[in-house]
Parts: sequence; C-alpha cells; structure tokens
Amino acid sequence: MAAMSRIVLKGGLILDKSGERNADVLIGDDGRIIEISKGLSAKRTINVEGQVISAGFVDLNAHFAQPGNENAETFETGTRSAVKGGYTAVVAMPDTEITNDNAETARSIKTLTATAICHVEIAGAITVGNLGEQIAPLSEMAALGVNIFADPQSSEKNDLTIRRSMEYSERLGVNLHYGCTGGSLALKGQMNEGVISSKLGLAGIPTEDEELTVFRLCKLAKMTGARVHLQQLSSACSIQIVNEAQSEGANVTCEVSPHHFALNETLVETFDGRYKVSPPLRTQGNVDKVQKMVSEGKVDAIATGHRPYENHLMDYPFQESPPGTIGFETALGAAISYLDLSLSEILNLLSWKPAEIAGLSDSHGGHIIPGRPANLTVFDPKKPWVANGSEMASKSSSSVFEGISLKGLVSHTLVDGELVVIEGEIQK
Amino acid sequence: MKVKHVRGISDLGKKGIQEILSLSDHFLEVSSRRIPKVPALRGKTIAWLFYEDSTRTRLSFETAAKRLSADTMNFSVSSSSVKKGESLRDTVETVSAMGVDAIVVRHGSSGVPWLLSRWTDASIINAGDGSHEHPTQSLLDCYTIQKQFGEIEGKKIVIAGDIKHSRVARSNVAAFKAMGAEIVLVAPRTLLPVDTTSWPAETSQDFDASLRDADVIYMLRMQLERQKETFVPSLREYTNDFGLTLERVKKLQKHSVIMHPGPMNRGVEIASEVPELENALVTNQVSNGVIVRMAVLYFLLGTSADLPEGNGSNE
Repeated sequence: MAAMSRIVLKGGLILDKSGERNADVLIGDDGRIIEISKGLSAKRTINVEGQVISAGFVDLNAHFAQPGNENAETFETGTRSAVKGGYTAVVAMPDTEITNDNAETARSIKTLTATAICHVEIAGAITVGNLGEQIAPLSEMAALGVNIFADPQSSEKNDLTIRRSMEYSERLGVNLHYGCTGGSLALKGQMNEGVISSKLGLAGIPTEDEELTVFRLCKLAKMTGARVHLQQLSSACSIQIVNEAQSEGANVTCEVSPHHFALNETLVETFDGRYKVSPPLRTQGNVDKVQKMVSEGKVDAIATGHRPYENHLMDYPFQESPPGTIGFETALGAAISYLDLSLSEILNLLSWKPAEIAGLSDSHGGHIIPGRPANLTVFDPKKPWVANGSEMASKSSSSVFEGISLKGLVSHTLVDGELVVIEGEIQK
Repeated sequence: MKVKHVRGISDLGKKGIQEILSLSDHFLEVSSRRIPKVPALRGKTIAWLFYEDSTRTRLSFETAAKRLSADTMNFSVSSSSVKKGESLRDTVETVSAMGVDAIVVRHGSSGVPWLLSRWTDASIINAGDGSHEHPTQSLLDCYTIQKQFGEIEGKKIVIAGDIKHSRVARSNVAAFKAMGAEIVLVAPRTLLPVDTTSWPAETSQDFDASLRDADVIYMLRMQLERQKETFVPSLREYTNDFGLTLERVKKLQKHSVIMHPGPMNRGVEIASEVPELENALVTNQVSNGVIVRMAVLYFLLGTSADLPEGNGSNE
C-alpha cells in the first residue's frame, strides 16, 4: 500500500472534530487519505512540522462574477485565491450578470466551473432574475445537482413570494440562503448610519434595515419549516434574533463575514472605495458585540462574501464605487487575530459547520480519517503577515483588510489529494 | 502657516480661517480700485473641475482668479464620471499632467477632494462635495459676519433648513465653531442629520423659539424634491413652520442679520420680500465671495512678495 501512495504530510498537528494528534497523513493516487500514523513515507514528502493540518475550509458565500463580468473574476482566478486562503470548497452565488435562475444556465455554469481549482458548489437563484416575483424552476435545477438556492438581497422581496418558495422547495430537500440587505430603510445608503455618516454627509444604512429582514425571514422559516441560512449578518441584534428563532425551533443558521467582526466604520473616513461593503462596516461597539457572540458560539459559520470588482472601479468617488471586498485569503488570519476562540472552534466555523450546511460532509469538513478525499489545509496559526491585496490571487486587489497585520497563514492546500498550494505558492 | 489644500474647514483650523479673513481685507481694497486687478498669481494655472452644475460658485472663483491674473482652464465634465466612462483618478491625472497649480473641484459625491489630493501634486480647493463640505462658502460667511459685527466669537447663529443634505451647514458648523460662535441647527427631525452628538451645535425643531436671541439667521435652500422623498408633507407646511416669513422677521432682535448661501427658493424657506430688507446680507455674501476666494487662492498659491499693498480702509 505504501508503495502506491503519493504524498505524505509529515510532522504536523492534525486537528479535526475528534481532537488533535501528532501524526503523518498519507495520501494515495486516488486522492484519498490512506493512513494516519507516525513514521509514514511516500513518493513526495511535505514537511509540515509545527503546523496544523485541518479539513479544507468551506465558504458558504462567494461571488465569482462569471458568467458576465469576467474582467472582475472567473472561476479560475477566484478559486486560485480560495485555495491560497485554505478553501477547498466554495458556494458560488447566483447574482452574476447572467443570473443562474434556470437549468440551461446552471448547466453552462457547471461547465465553466471545470476551470476552478477547488470544488465549486453553484447556488441557483430562488426567484427569476433575483427579482422576487416568480419562483425560479427549483426542481429542474435541483435535478442537475444544485442543492443551495440563494437570494443575496432579500430585504425588498415580497413576504408571500418568500413564503411560497420556502414551502415549494420543501420536497426538494434544498437549502435557501438569504442576504439580508437592500431594504427601504437603506435607500441610497453608502455606509453604516450614525455619527460618521452624519458627519460625512453620506446616506446611511441603519442596522434596523437588516434586523427587520432577519426577523421576517426567521418568522417565515418557522412558519414553513424551511431550511434557511442567513448571510453576512453585520448587526449583533440580528444574531440575537436568529438565536431566538433557533430556540423556538426554526431551522435557521447564520454566517458572519470576517470584516464585520474585525473592522469598523471609521475606515470610511478615508473615502476609499475599498471600505464600501454590503452590509456596511458598523460601529466598534457593534463589532465588539459581534465578536463576542461569535466567540460564544452563537453564529454557525464564517463566510467571506468574496465579491471582486475590476480594480479601476476603486478609483471612483465613494458614492459611485460598487460595494464589495475580496475575502478568501484573509479569513483565517482575521478569525485567529480577532476572535477569542480555540483553533478547533475557529475550524468549526471555517470548515466543519459550513460543510454540513452546504451538504458537503461526505467530502469536506469534520473528520480527517482514512478513506476520505484529501481536502486538507495546512497552516501556521502563529505566522504574522500583512494583508496586501495586490499580492492576492484574485483578479481584484480590493481587500478591506489592506495593510492590516494578521496572524495565521495557510501554507499548503490539497484538493482531492492534489497539492494545489505549496508553501503559499499556487501550483497551477 | 503653510497649507496645501482647502478640502474642508479642518485643513485650516482657526488660525487658517483668521489668516484668510485678514487677507480678504487686502483684497477688499484691491476690489475697490478702478482697475481691480493685481499680478499676484501671474504664471499660476488653476483648473476648474465641476462635475455638478454651478453658476454662482464657478463665476465667483473665475472672477477671483482673473483679478489675481492667474491662468485658468476649464475641464468640462458633466454628471457622474462613471457615465462618462473615465475614472476620477484618470481625469485628475490628465488635468495635472497639463501642469496646474490648483484644482477647484465640485462633485456630487462626498470626499472627492480628499481622493484627488492623493492622486495629484496640485492644491485642491473644494467647491462642494456631495452633502459633505463647502469650505469657501463658510469662509465668505465668516467674513460677512465679521464685517457686520466686528467679530464672530460669542454670536448666536441659527442655521435653519435642510441640514441633513447640506454641505454648507457642515462646513459652517465647523468654521463658526472654530471662530467661537454658538450654533443652533433648526429643522424638522427628518431634515436633521441622524446623529449630531459629536457636532459642536445644539439642535432644535422649534424655529420660533430659536430665533428670539439669534444674532445671525442663516437660511438654507429647501430642495423641492424633498417633498416627494417624504421628508416633509408639503412645502406649504414647511414654510409655515420653518420658513423665514415677514412675521418671523418682525420678531427678531434689532441688530440681527439674515443670510442665505443662494440660490434662494423665494416663498419657500424665505419670504419673497425678506432678501431685500436692510438686515439681509445676501448680496454682501455674493460680493464677499469673490474677495474671500481671491484670498483663498492667494493663501494657497501666492508668496508674500506678491501681496498687494493695502491702502484701503483697514490701514
């Protein structure tokens, strides 16, 4: 058996759901883990002494701009950035220029994902054109293997349509993911509403806009029993609303993005378009609360919300630049640097739990055991580095973490047993 | 005091404001000459970059530049830069490649002067950015008040109207405060900024009460669209509660003055007859605008050797 094996990760600390142990990981030609013990050897040895071996990260919320806006990102460039950040699976949102709202488009997009260098789960739109009027052909898309449907901007959508899509999707056993932005309280909004928006003369987006949507979606989830996941909650109160719904038996989970527990709205005072994100950066008081809630286990997942734009769009005035930041390569560092959590709790949020939510538990997250596909990430949790968007693999270099010192850096990533990142360098 | 830009009042502080106000006295004298022109900025080039329509501010700046003998160029831009397909950065890099000493910019988006100053070596003068700042308006308002009362310190200034969307209000609060005035902002809650806790000003929704002991009543333009956007039920109701009507003017203190940055909506925020009253300083503001903008341009681009000799009233 050992003669056939291809790669051994040597000297690392394996950290998975069952705990931690010092052992080598042997990976076979079929891309699966063959054996985990000490003193293993293979054709290729990767020395990972002093580093952590974990299940690859799973991002529940990523935007790839393809099809339609390939100048901003493609599945290839986006997943290059993903694997560099330790992700082995990502969920691609359907709100591309050409909306993924029908079987034919889903089929084409699946073909396009062949250029990706990690696993891509494509999410379909819940309604046609993401308009909230007519339910998209969920069954036809589900037949092609789509098991996540998303509405990245649900605030303005009609309650009745949301209810019907929740009820209708029950028989398909799929997940419904909702972004909670874009309500009428956020009209023309550019940043968090408050002291700073008032000072800068920018229209504000109050946290209440998100909280009202979260409340509505939780009520509808409870009412219909649908499996609902809420995206990028930026307000501490939103998380509290979800927790209450969970305790009342609603089948709801939620995610937060690293910038919402790490960075605050004062960055907008630079008027730099890179700090325009949706939902917006909030007050430090809110950031502290979100941090605390994540640290107390009140959130189910960390998702990046990776949203790339062409770089020149950041050279426009703040009010004209589009909202979004890239996020794959800073997620681990931000989680380690800003959260008061053990490494295994952080991995639960970056990998194990999102793998369950995305229905990828067979191949991702959870346990590192023989027989499973080797979707693995090796990282140094203590390594200090400084985020620099132009060094990231995404086509976009607009990172909200630009210039910020982080701790924790990915060195190797394996997708189905293939070393796609070695010592921080992408191999494809 | 060497200052590179006038993007907002914070670029100047009290010292900078005072310096510009005293320079303005020099240029007031220049403006009263038979030929109101000096060679103070000969050889300097100033570019206009107006992304928003502006007749008054633009003419005021142009007149100021001409009286200082500066060369000017107009970079014609309209509406949003996105529609035009050229980024702000490309535009400003093009303008500065032609060799300019200062760029006077007006833009509908907050913060544009700050972005420009990152991308060019030229001095940036803000002629209005979104709802954020309009510092030269505030400087001319300070000059007008100082001329009227001898000083700004201790004066009670009521700024009334659409504070929420007003760049004039934001710059004026900063400038009047720096000069030691007491400020009250008056508007219905919908037209006040959401959070003014960090502003050095009181807020009030009772116009009549705030007028009683005011020295300066500073009215802001009420955009007609605000009615459609549900900020107020109707302009009639707005005028009734927050307009400077003749009845309200009668109740003012004898020495109080009325100001407005223009353009006025007569019959809305200000009764038609009010600007013509003796205590209305609206035209003084306009003529002081040219003088103060001469002072601003000279303050940024001039050297003391070029300072015109003053032989006017202040000597």
